[in-house]
Amino acid sequence: MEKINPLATSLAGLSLSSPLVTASGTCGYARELSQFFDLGMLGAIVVKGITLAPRTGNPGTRLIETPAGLINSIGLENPGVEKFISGEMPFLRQQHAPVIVNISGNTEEEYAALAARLDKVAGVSALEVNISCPNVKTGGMAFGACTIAASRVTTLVRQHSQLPLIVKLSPNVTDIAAIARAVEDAGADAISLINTLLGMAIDIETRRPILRGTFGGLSGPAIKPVALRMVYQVFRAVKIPVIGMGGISTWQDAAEFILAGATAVGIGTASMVNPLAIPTIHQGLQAYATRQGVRNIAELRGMAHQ
Amino acid sequence: MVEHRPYCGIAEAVENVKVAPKIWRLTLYTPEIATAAKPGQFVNIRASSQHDPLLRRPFSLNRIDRAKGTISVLYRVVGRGTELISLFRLGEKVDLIGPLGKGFATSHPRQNSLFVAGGMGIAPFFPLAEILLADKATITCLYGVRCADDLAEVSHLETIGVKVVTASEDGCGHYHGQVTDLLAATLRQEDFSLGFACGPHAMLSATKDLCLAAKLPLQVSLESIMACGLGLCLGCTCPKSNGEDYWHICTDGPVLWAEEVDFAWKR
Ligand SMILES: Cc1cc2nc3c(=O)[nH]c(=O)nc-3n(C[C@H](O)[C@H](O)[C@H](O)COP(=O)(O)OP(=O)(O)OC[C@H]3O[C@@H](n4cnc5c(N)ncnc54)[C@H](O)[C@@H]3O)c2cc1C
Ligand SMILES: Cc1cc2nc3c(=O)[nH]c(=O)nc-3n(C[C@H](O)[C@H](O)[C@H](O)COP(=O)(O)O)c2cc1C
Repeated sequence: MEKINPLATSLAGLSLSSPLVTASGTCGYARELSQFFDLGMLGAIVVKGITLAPRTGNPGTRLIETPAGLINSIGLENPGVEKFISGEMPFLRQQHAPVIVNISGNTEEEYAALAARLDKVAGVSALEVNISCPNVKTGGMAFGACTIAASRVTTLVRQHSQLPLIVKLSPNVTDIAAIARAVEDAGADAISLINTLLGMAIDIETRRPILRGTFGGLSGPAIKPVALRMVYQVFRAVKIPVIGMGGISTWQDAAEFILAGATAVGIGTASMVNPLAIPTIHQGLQAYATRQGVRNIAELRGMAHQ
Repeated sequence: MVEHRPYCGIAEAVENVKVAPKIWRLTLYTPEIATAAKPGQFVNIRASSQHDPLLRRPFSLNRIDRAKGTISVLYRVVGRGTELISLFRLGEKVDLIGPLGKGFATSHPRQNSLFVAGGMGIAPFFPLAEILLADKATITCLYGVRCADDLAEVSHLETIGVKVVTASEDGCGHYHGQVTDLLAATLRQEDFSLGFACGPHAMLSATKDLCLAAKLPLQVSLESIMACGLGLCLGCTCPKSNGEDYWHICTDGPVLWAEEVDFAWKR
């Protein structure tokens, strides 16, 4: 008899072995995590944000620990799309999990060029369009903060790529549902949220902000209630699937996001604290599905709305 | 990338003792790490199973005992994480990952080695000394502290055959002044084949300048706030001396050749 996998998930035309995906930027290009578990158990590998040209990242302090959270200001350090394709894709292609490439641009044209470049690359299963990075001077979050800009970037990327398109939203907005509807209308196949919340810390001795860029992105358990609320709101606002993330560190957290409406969930900061977080959550979620008496975890999706 | 697949799991605390007013040594039974570890590598320890403090705390390996299957870390209580670690009891199940990072390179001519330690920078030197001494090297260790309360390890290092010269500004050491002044004086008197330094940023920077001027190859063990310790987040950087991009201390280091590091980075 064929063993049924209660965690099997389909998302924007992709078949995932589980709803658990890595959150971009918290697992590099997955080589490091592969030392700890078989990446084949991931629903998908979402890689660190890629830009057209290489970026060395931000100078000075890049990390600040906060109560149950972490502020980062990495600044999208990455080898650039060409080196990513030649240097990282060969390894990623060998893993038995779909690869979702997170892309970031300074301009609309850069998003378009990235989408076009990655379109025919073997092994790339989908694009995650990051219009929500708080750690770069231009572009990034600016695109995610306004419905018009968000919709324009989405339309443009859609025109340049046949791949399933996931648009990653910033929580640093007043009306997340409006942005979500805008990117859905512009052709997004799925939405992921949340990226990090804008935050800061001040050195009381030097009396200056600790980060050179003043603000950074807050992640980790501290942001979970905000992330959950936004996933809940977006689930109501759109028909396309939602990848929920923000502070998930246990299977219970993952279950909450699914009940709020997430089709898949991203694990970020938790993997940085415990590289075995995803396998541990996987186990817990599987047992939970069984206990809830569902054949597939999808049956629990959005149940909190009923 | 780390050279070996690191162990990630639980290790039992077999000792956690105060060795100086604010300094403790935690010894853990973890044959997996003890077998694979090299001097200069580190372990990343969870101080709490709760969400706060969230991140693990990195510590250099201060003892590597393959026969007993144990490793130790020598740590100074400076904040919440180290405070919690100091409360670990015998038999405590400690959540850790290691060994991590690249340790000291010991394949270079090292017959007359020089250690320069500042404060807790003394931590990684004992296991390094063991390896060098087994190879018949002679070792001089210049060790700077602020006051007598900060001294640790001296008798242990001396027992295995390291010549330790202490420096302090309060006059408690052999030399009255900063360890880098002691270093300058020492380099005028004696030639060394290889230098190793660990300590505060400013000390490492001055040590680099003095050693390069004396044409002494120098390895430095660097610190930075770290999150994962694994190369996942790219958060713990220091600029390369090429002026273009960054080292990632957790995976490229923590030990790097001093000439490869631009110490002008601290704001
Ligand atoms: C590779 C590596 C090896 C290390 N080895 C040792 C060692 O052998 N012995 C030892 O005592 N310490 C070592 N440290 C430093 C040690 O990790 C920090 O002192 C510790 O994380 C502080 O935790 P806390 O919660 O007690 O302090 P916090 O409350 O987090 O902070 C207290 C103070 O310590 C500073 N600090 C916090 N984290 C670090 C860090 N990672 N590096 C430097 N300063 C920090 C903070 O800026 C603050 O000023 C090492 C650090 C690294 C990166
Ligand atoms: C160190 C770090 C780097 C990140 N880099 C990226 C990135 O390159 N692209 C992106 O879309 N999101 C990035 N993020 C955001 C995460 O993917 C995720 O949306 C956010 O951290 C919330 O999830 P978490 O609380 O589980 O970490 C980064 C987060 C962290 C902590």
